Amino acid sequence: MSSIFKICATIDRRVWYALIFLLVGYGLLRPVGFPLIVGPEVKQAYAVIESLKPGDVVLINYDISAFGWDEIKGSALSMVPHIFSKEGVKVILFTDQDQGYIYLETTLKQIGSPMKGYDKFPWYEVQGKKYLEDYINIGFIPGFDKAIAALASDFRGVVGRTDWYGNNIEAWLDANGIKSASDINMIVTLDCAGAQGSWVNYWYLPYKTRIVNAMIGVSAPASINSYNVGMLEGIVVSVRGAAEYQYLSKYYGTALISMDAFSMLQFMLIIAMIIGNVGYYFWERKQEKVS
Amino acid sequence: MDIISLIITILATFTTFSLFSILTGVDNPFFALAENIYVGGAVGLTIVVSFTWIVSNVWAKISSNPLANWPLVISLVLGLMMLTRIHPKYSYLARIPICIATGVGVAISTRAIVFSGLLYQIRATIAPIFNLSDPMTSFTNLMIVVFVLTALSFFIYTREIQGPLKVSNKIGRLVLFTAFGALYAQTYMGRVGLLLGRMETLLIPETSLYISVIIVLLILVTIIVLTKYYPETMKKLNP
Amino acid sequence: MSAFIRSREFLLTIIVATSFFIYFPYFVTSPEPLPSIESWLVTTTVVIVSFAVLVSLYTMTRREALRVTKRGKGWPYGLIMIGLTWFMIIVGVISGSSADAFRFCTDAFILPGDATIYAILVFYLTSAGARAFKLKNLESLVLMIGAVTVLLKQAPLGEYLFPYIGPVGSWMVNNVGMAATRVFAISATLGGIVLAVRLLTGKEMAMVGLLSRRKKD
Repeated sequence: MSSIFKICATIDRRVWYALIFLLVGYGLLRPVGFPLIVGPEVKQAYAVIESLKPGDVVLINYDISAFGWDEIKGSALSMVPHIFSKEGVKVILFTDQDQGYIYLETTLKQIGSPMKGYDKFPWYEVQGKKYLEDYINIGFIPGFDKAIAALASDFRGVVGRTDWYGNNIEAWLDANGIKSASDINMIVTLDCAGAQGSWVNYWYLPYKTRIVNAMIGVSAPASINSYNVGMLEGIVVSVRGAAEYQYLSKYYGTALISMDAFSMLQFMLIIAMIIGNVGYYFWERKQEKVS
Repeated sequence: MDIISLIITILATFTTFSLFSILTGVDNPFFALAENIYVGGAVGLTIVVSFTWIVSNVWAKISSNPLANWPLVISLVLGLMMLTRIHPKYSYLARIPICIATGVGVAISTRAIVFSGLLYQIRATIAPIFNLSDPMTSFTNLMIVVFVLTALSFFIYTREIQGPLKVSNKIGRLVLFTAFGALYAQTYMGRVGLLLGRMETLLIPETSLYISVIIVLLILVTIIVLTKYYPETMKKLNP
Repeated sequence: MSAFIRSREFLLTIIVATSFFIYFPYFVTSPEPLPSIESWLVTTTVVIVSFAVLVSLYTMTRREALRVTKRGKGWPYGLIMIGLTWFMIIVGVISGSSADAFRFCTDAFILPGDATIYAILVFYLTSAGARAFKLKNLESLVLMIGAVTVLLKQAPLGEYLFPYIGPVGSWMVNNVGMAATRVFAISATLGGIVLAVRLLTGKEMAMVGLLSRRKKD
């Protein structure tokens, strides 16, 4: 019997690694279909985006790098088409990460199609919204929080005359009444690097701009804090929140598929903790007492 | 799937599992190769994107109308002064743009953080705790006040911890440990999401699944053979 | 001239002046040109940060070139690293970041590498959970309770099997977790303010490269 406890206490960590790979593979390739309960935060985020009216201007921030894309793509591929589906809403796409433009284009490619007569970026039609009629892409501005601050203090000056692809956007901005940061009605920030803090500091505090935040798990505590204080209107936390949003918005995707594997891994960690404690109490502590 | 996409898939899968090969617990040439490729590529990408922004936003404005955009000329000069950091004789010139960037960065972060990080946090903590019409909310608010104050008292290092402060310190310690457990779980959730997203790209399209299995077997067999039968070669191949 | 530029007083004047032009228009409604100077300073900082990246490129190239020429340990890997960096820079500068060769390297090496580096943490977190969460005392017990509760709440299966875990886990995250995060935010803010004051009073000049400190600091 003591040999079982010894095994529990001295399990090679590579056993856990192999088990993770097996569970992930099984969960993704043979999903079971565990039920999913949608939380109040995601319902609130969905309701906020549903409340967009014709004429509203939404700035979508792709604070996304490769290290977070796989976690946040579920949110991106459901929230962005949801926003684009709102009639009369104008969209400005922006990124404060040097890799963000790659994921911006990946999203548009997946949720849209090339406009008639065009075959490359930026001329994509998404949910009926055409480029340079209903939405623009101002691309990447370096500086991270300084870029966000610069946009807040001098929006037109920092954006310039052209979009990310060199097309003149002055007429579009003038036609939609976008002269300064206060003309942006909502910011939806997809965060891998905690940009919500900068949006709150430089946009919510001075202009009371509404902010909805989807973020990776590591950034969740700060975002939950801002949400509870009232500085964020809605939050979508990590892949679980993305799955819930996909379910609500009916833009089903990979986040929903991965929920089974997600559950399995969470339970595996709990079992690992229990096994570690069993080994500690019934073998390791005895060894400590003997020595 | 066209040939370029297939090659990209194979290389991406190879890069991914080469990086995962560190989990075998053995330093191996696959991990070293993938690590160096990744670092090299990431630096190249960052530089190209930064350079593109400078050319399209700063240089384009200056070249179209230098007189009207004379402040940007000064910005560009200050940016170029950063490059003097390389030269041992003139590296002191780089301190000017560093000072500007430091002054602006510190000022920008502190002017707003006073509100979002301090005043708003304190304001949110001061909530009604005696409201008989909504006892549940009152209890929750009271708990938050107690948790915040006791956790803050844990960080007092300038007084001897005794009397009521000792009790508060102990409760604060327990609050922080509970929160660390919750934060650990949230971090785990985030990383699991990342792993699942990555593995979903590698496993769900059928072609990708076969490529993944082949590459995993190739890497594992090579590492095992090198470790067991050719340890000297393994040592030479490792950086 | 160089002595003047190197002097602590000159550098401190720059820091104080730039900070003034950032703080003042934020708190006081200011006439032109103060808001324009503020915008210009922020844009200039963005430009400076972009050029700073080029300095890192030089440092990296020099270090790896030395390693390759002197055949230091692992020099082939250094050659690959620097070769790929410069290939991407040349292609990106000449043809743009949308060029096929550039996107090929990005999609094949950088994006999968970036994602994998962070995904590896799952494995280390799991083995850490098995080894480090030992119930030795009250603190470790509450640590484990916090972790297990939120883990069960996060897992859809956990919420389904234990219906009460949802509200309990949410309460833990929104109250206990939030209280701790609030404390960290307040502490970090106070630390940031202290750092800013020290910088503006010249006591933290190591941040701008003046490493020697006066004794009274």
